[in-house]
Amino acid sequence: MRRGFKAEARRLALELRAEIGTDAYAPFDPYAFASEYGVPVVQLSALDGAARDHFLKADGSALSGALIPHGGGVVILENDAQPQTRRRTTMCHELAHVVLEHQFGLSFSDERKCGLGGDQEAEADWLSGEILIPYDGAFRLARANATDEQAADAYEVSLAVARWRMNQSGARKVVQRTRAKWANAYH
Amino acid sequence: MAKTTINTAALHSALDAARQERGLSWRALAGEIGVSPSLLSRLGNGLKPDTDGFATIVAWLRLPAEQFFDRDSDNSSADSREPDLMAQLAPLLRARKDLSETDVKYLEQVIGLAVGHARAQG
Repeated sequence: MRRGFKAEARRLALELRAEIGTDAYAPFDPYAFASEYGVPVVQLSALDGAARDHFLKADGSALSGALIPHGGGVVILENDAQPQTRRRTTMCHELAHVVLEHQFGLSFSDERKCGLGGDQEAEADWLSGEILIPYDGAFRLARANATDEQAADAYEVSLAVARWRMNQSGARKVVQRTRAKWANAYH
Repeated sequence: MAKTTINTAALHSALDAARQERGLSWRALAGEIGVSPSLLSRLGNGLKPDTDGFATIVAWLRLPAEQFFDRDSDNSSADSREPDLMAQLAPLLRARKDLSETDVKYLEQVIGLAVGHARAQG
């Protein structure tokens, strides 16, 4: 990931949330965002044929979503057989590729991995995390001693994504450090 | 009377040329023009801009608005500019070692179907 990207993603995620009238403390609606950006979203179940049946499986499906170039824009294909929280993660991942102006994406079975690899993948992964649970939101939750389960509920994400964000965003660490500093100041 | 519409594909192309000349991302371009990034994204997806957005863009481009007017058009120009999708995507799919041949074949199918579906939704 290029230098400074994490700070940029933190700011950008708040900007993107503001564009659809959502602050740092509410769940993000990726479908409202796609609509605002004029990006068509096609559900796998709306298609016909053997290919659809091949991928339309809740578990073990090779395909979670795809970002498909179309004219000057893109189309998002999402696997709607997967659980709602998983679909929201897939959508945010593909939307992160859109915002970061990456060319093509395919999300496969792993929740936080897709087909681009390299820097583009790492950037989309990190930005989608910031979109789903912004640093400011993670910080507020950490200060309130929220569990990963509570973070997952508050932002309508899977437990795995909530755990990842609460730990990797650095929010819990900052809260712990601040508390330790205050504790030391009184001793 | 002939119906006049905005040729979104032509407008998007003109913006893309200006963007590339300046080495800007679409988001940075939106900031420079003074419109929302979502407006430029909508244009790329073939959606019409609102009147204020259109006026702001053509003023920034310093081109006459008429240049982006289409008469009696059904806005099919976006499709005519489009390179063959599978020619672009097939090599990327085939290069992936973790996908079986069946997966690649079916991916090509669902991608084609998804684009057709999005186009039909319009």
